[in-house]
Amino acid sequence: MNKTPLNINTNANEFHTLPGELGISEIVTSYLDGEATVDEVEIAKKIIQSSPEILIEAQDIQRAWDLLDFLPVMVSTEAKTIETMAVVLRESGSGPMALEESALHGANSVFASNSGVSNAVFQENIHLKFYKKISFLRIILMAAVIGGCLGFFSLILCRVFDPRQTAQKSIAIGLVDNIEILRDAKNLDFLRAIAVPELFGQPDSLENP
Amino acid sequence: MIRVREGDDEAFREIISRFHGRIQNFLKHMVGNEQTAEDLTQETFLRVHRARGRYRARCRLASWLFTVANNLALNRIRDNPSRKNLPLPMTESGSLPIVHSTPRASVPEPVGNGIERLEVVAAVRAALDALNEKQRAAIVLSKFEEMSYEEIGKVLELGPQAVKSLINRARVRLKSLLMGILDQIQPRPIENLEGDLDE
Repeated sequence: MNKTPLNINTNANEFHTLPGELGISEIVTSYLDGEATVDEVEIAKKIIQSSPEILIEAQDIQRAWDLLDFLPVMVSTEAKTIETMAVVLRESGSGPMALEESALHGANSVFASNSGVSNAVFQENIHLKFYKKISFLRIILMAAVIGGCLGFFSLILCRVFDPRQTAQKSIAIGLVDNIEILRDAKNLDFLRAIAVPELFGQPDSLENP
Repeated sequence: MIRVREGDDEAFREIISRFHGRIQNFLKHMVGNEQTAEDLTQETFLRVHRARGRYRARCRLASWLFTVANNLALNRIRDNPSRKNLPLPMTESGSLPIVHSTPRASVPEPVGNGIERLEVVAAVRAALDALNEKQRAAIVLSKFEEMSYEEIGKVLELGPQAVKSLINRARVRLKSLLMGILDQIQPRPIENLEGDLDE
């Protein structure tokens, strides 16, 4: 759509009467913006051509509109795109839904509120603080659970894989079994022969060959 | 955006690449500060990404992005009192005085009749700032984004008639503010405009 910005002073409304709710200047503006209805197009053409004063006024507005082209344009680079994407990925999923609601509907609260403080921003801050607090507690709880689990498993692993404890346990089991087996036989020499020398000393046969 | 809603980050990167400059320039015109505009641009995409689950295909993506950006700009302007519409020094005719800014970092570029480019930029910037937020948003969206009245209405949450009136008032005010510099740039091309109308 090739827009040709043009307008006329609203004061011109005082000198023209048109049907409908729109004033003359709105009709001319919408006509020149390509937004006018078929009826409005005809009316706008007649208005502009009917009065040199309106024509001059319209030209001034058009030139003022063209001056906007002098405003500098910020250039967006690939680096900025990447940086923005990085921020989005880093922050995404970390905020409450209230933040988006505030962004999407905050303007209403701005214009509806007569006070200097916006409800939208106030609630947004509340939600943000609450969310940060919840996140902190969640991290602490998770760290505690992970720490506890690690401690428990390390204890189990030490018990199972400690070579000294394994050897002692095996010996103790062997000793008890032998005691049970040999209790009736009352042959402690045999027990000494198969048991641990540190506990029972050397068997007689070995001590005195 | 539908792909983004389904978790496609690459699609969102494409959206950023496509709209980053436009959103950034819109925000620059709204808040008048490049750094703030950059920050708000990131914030805009961040909030859109968070709210991607609520996107509906019937809503035009550009309208949605500019709505979020506009709301963020309004919040920032409201929170920053120095940015609010302050009464500007006017000439007797109601237009802004021409400010001769010195020293200049770049070589001044003459526009016409002794007016230099930087002076025009400063005057236009001041005139745009003198508009209220809704008028400024409507002007920027219409001029630089070439949005239709319907699209502007969606962004600003206004009906079609309200948009027409808003843009009309904004243009008339802009002309009044810039009359001082308009008179010095070039004569009025009445014949040209009449020719355009005849066509």
